[in-house]
Amino acid sequence: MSMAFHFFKRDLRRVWWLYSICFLVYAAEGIFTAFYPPLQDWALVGNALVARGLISFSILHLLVLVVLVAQLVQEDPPVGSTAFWLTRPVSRASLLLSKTAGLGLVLLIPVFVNTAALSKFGFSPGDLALAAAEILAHQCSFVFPIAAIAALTPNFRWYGAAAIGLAVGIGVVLFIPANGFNGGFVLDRNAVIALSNTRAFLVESILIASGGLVLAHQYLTRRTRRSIILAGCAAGAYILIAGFWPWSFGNVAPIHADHAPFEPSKVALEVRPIQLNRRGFPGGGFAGAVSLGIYIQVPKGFSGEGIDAALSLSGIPEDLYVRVRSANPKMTTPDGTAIRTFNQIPAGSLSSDSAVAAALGGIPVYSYFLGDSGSAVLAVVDTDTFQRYRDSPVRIVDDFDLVAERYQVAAEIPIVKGGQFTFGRVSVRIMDLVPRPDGVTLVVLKSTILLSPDSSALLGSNPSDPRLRGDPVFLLVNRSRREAVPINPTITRTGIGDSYLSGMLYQQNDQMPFGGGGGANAPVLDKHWLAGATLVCLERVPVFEFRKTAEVDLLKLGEPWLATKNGYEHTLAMEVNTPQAFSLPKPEYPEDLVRAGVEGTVVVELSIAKDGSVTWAKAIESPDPRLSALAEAAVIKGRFKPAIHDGVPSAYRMRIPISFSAQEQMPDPEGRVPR
Amino acid sequence: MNTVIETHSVTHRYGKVAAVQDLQLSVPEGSIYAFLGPNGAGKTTTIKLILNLLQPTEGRATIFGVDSTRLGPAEFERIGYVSENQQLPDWMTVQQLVDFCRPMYPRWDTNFCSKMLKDFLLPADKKMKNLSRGMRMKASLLISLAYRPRLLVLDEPFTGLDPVMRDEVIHGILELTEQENWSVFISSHDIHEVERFADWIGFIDGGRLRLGESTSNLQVRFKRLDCVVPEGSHFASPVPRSWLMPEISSRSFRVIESEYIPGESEKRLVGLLPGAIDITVADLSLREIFVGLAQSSSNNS
Repeated sequence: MSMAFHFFKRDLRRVWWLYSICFLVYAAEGIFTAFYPPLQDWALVGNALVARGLISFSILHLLVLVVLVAQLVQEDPPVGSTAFWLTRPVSRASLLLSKTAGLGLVLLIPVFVNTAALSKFGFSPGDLALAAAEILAHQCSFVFPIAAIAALTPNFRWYGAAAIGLAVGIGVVLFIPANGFNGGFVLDRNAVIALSNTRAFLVESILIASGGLVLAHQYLTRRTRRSIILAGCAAGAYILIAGFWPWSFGNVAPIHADHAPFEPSKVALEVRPIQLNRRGFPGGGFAGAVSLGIYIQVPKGFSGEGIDAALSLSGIPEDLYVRVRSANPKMTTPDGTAIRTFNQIPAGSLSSDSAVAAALGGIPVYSYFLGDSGSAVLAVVDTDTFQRYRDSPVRIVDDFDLVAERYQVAAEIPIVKGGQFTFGRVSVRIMDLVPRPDGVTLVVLKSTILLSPDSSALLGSNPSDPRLRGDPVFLLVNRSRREAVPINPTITRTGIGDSYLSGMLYQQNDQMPFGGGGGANAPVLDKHWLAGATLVCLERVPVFEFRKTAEVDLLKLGEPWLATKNGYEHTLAMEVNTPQAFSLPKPEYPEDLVRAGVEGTVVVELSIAKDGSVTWAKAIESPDPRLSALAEAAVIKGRFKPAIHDGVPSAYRMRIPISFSAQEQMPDPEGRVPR
Repeated sequence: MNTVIETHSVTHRYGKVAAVQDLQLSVPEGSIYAFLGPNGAGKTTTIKLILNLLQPTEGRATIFGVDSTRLGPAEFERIGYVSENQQLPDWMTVQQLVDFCRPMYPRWDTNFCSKMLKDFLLPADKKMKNLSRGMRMKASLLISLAYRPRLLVLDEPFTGLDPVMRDEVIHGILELTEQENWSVFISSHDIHEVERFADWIGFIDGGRLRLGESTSNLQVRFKRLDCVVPEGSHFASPVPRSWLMPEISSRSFRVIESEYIPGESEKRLVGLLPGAIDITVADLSLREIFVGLAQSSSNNS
């Protein structure tokens, strides 16, 4: 024991400066994380810089750890026959103990610093302890393997070459099509659920156990050949599990049973298994998962502009709430023709809006991206491709899980600087309110999610991850104005050795990129708007789940949708029976507007639930904002006969024109046009 | 006779190449055993096998009666090992190196260490990496002698040392062995370095031990025979294996007899070279014996 301490002290004297650098890097990151600087008008630039800064930290971690571990181990290398200690009266066990102590110190630095940083966010001691354990486990999964490499190589040059080889090997394994390394070592209370990513758990366990075992074996026996064989076996197990693990339960495809298959005419929906590449299907991903493909027929050369409008015209029932991840958005038709895909239209922009709106008591939500969680694949298919593909049978050959979910308010706080709430293992704090010259006030938020870094993929892939309690949605809600704006979370990983995802959430009134929609029409979040607003956290709540063995053998795509010159209008009749209005109140038309000659047609988009009620309405075209409000107020009170699909009442989204004529003073309730 | 090192049919192969084959070595306690051989003969490999730096492919070696593969701290407290192949912590100063080694050895003699530090003119505050080769070797000797080991294993300790420094080191070793009755096992490719003080010689070549005995025995056994022979003489039958480097010129003949028996060896010479007269028998230096053995084995191979 005393000899182990003697060598440990010597190692500390040798590499104290590397320990110091290591500590400084982690401490700098911890300070950065805990006291995130409020962003000014350069918010976007700052955000980008922060993201890159954090990436730099993670690279620095890596470099410092790689060098530090090598210096520690190779000071007394257990390989070769020239090491100083080999002919000195020190037992191998003592030496191993001293090295373990040295590595333990390496492991403790990030555990200590990160836990200290996390303690700023109001997490409970129990959660912090679990997080510390996760950090430790994660650190071990990196430190032990590189220590083992250092123990099997006689000098830094060999070590560097071996480490690069290992990194390349892991990269190759991760590129095996069936693979997707998500999840990680999780010691959560609800670990059983979180560990549904069994592969990731096993992979990390292999890294820790084999790294430690090889290191110990090499020091205790100095049988390098046997140690290498041991490491080779571990590498084989890693490749098998990380690359070819055939089961994954992390990806669920919550599709309402009523809607699979679904067969509208103008939009072709395909429910197909992902990860059938070993069985002759294209694409990668996971056995048993399904993805929803939405095929919209467009002219050749289509750029993608206006896809939102096309989607809103598609008539996809709103409660077809789709949460699917596509592991590989590349798709081809069965005859090999590549389908142009626009990767991952977020569920939020398809239909979860209505669920969110329902949670807010019917307040419509402007559709920004809701993050990269649950997504569908939007495939844009030109006419020829569509014609060839539409009659192709698509079979579902595996089980898939179906989950229906709804939202509920989990937390709500006033928007004031310093406001903070903790939701499960997510902490959100309002860091600053920054007025911009254009009147918009930036709400600078920070979310900290208590996760081990490699669990970050769970964020999107495992909606049932208990730590996230259903992948929460954050919104700024002004209930008096009945307006809500989802906040775009920018989740950044802080790399190896950290324990959390540090995300900056901010609201902006800028146009969101393709697929987001609603940006231009979103309310201006000025100080007046924010004064009456709250920060709301919605959690997803599974309504029901079941597992279905799908035996759909023929899923024909819809009839061709002939493109017109504008590309989006369909000319064929819908096969779905569209809703019919029972009652549609006349909108108010105040006399002052009549007298002022304010008139025209307001096109209102509305959602009609299965029971025929209007869940939300929004004017999308209007000659005057005042008419918009009047039209919306009227439409929201309407009652409809719901859309019937396959004999079952279904939710539906449609648009109707509401005319305001100063002469007639009457809208034409019969003039609605299903779009 | 007690032995400190023994090997029993030790073989070590690097792949298919045998660096040491069927080695039978016995180092008596208290001796200064010079382990000689040309470069690449297997000297360093043998030392590494003895000290468990390598494991034998076949056979076994013992040191203080303990199997080499089971050497532990208790044995290494009594063994000093100096080799230019050994890695030293270059980042330490000489003093730091001494301070680092001291706690490992219960019998560390601080006064002795200080004396050597002084005698060797070692700069205590200089880092190892900044020392000359000779100084590094001295520092290595220092930390291998200060705990008064019972066995000192030196692997080519004089390589790179200038003559003055070599003499200093030799002097130091000699002095210490006389005082302490230590055993020294010293490998070298140059007999000249060790002939002054070695009392046992082992000669290895091609991984095989050609001889291993005391210098007094060797000097009795190895003699040079010179004689005058008639013009055009030739051997009546094949020369015996005990003859090394036989040289015959027009009227003279010279050979190293490795199994000299007074009277018998002369008779055998006359029998093989009829007409040989004026036979003289001369003693050989260790160097001459070594060169004879080396050249002979070179010719045989």
